[in-house]
Amino acid sequence: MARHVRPAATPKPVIDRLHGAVVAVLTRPEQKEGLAKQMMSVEVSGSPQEFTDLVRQETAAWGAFFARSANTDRLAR
Amino acid sequence: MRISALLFCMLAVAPAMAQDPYPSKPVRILVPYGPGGATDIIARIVAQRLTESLGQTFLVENRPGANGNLALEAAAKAPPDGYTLLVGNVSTNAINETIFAHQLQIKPSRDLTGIAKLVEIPHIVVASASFPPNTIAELVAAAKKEPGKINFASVGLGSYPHLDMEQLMLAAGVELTHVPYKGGAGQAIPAMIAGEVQVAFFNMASLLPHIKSGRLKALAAVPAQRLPELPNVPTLAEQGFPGIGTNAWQGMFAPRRRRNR
Repeated sequence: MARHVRPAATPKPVIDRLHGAVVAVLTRPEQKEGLAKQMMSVEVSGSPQEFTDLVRQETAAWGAFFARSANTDRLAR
Repeated sequence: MRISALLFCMLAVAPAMAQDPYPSKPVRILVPYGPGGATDIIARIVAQRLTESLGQTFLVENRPGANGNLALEAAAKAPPDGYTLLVGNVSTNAINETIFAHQLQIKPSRDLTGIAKLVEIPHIVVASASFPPNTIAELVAAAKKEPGKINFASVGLGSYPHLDMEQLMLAAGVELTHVPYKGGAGQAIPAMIAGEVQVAFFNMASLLPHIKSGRLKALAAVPAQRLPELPNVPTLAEQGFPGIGTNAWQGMFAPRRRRNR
């Protein structure tokens, strides 16, 4: 029974709610200025999927970089 | 008529009431490092602001260890209900999957779902003030003249300041000698000022004061656009090396699916 009420994946409404809240708080002008003083530039994703896709692309690009490196041994432990 | 309307209303709201609106209890945000670094700083700011705007406590939990892999695994294996989140960065969430493939029990890109990128921290190619080259072309020429003689700093084997320079060396066909500083930028920067190492890819947050004081100099900006703080420093792309250098970001993630522990 308990298995049925435990979600199988983080629900999309929860992901969307968090995305909306994060974008709203970070894009306030005073928040952006405060972070800019610490050299952090606010760059929020357009959607959760956009960010997920970016992370997958970058993960694949790093994998490809390691694969084609002439001397991979010295790059990792 | 009135009663049936009331009944209709009650039935209509029932499904919504059956499930608590999110968030109905405190949310923890795992951070893959100890307190004080950029990832921890942005996680704490976001936690504070979400606590204010969503009316529930968002609590940062530092889980350092194994280059961030402990926190990645804890996040991926947590119940996927929105009450365990992770703030990671390009190293933990895009690089570790490859360099720690044999140690990681999960695949971050498969087992975590993105919520949002939060911030980017611009990086630059920086050099000791006493190092003669002032541009990437001059750096490449100097490295070609004396292969292996120029030292570059990083914050460890497999860190992106290390990998970025390896990428540049590969693209330019030159050889520099890697000097990793385990104490991080706080140790590497004084070494560069002292001239023990000549060049590095580091973030602007730690470099700007030293560039302003003239103890270090910027050879190139890593972002696609020049930095407002360094308008006279051309980008790597402008200097013939587009696509080199990590676009360093921090982002928020949630577990994708329920996993067996």
